[in-house]
Amino acid sequence: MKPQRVEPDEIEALVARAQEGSSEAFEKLVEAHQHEVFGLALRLVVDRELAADVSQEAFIRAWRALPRFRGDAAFSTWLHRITVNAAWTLKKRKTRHAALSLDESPETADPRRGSDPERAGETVELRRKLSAALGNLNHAQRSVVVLKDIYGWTHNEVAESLGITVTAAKVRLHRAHLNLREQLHEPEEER
Amino acid sequence: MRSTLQHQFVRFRVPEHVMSDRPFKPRAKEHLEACLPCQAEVANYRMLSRVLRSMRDSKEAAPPGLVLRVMANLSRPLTEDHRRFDPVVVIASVVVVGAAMALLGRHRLRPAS
Repeated sequence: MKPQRVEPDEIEALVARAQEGSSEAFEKLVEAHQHEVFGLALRLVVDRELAADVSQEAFIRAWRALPRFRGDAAFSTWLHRITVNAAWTLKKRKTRHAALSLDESPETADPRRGSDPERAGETVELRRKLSAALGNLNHAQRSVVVLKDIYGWTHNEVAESLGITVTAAKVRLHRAHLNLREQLHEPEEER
Repeated sequence: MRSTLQHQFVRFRVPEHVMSDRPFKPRAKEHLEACLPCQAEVANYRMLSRVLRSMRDSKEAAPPGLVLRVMANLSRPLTEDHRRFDPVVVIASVVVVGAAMALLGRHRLRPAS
């Protein structure tokens, strides 16, 4: 994968042209954001084929909604919200819940990233386990973990995007954390 | 008894505090300093938080041809039918039904000659 490096100014110019109806400008936006949108979709639906459909749907929705995009948030943030909604719609349609096999883990961790080789190896192993554990969560719990813990959204943003209350988002996240904790570690002896 | 309650109380709150980087209150901190199982729990959630955050940096390659697929389908209908509640259609329907009812009402109220 060659990440497309596009400067923010260039993105703004492309968005403005796409809003005027330039499909060429929109194509460049799709090229620039396809990997991050696909990555988010894959984490939300844990199925490569479905994630590709979600990405396609998200970009088509973005194209239709572009005239209403006012630039209050960054284009990528806006696109992420559309991706979350598209994932929700398409996931609901899908009855099969594909569990992510360890070999198909979406994580491409780079062990050289950490300064401590032992810790880096531990992180890779934990990421592998975590990807599998995330795949075992239900879609509702996985969504809040992905958006809050991985992408750093606020509780308000998560709640708004998923159409639930902030309290419900917090409760869902708490349950998801307990679930992940249970999957990743042996239960500690109670005192 | 009090110690057990405090332990359960702190342990229940470990995930939300650690995962959101929220500091513990003094009493909870006091318990944590003395409770090895709770310290282990904090360590587990710190690691979970660290690994989850690191996952954001790992990019995933979109499948080849995604851009072409998108561009070829820009004009196709969306998966979810957003036109179900098209406001123009709704307002037009209300106006037509309202006008029909008003006409019908006037017709009924008119005295028979």
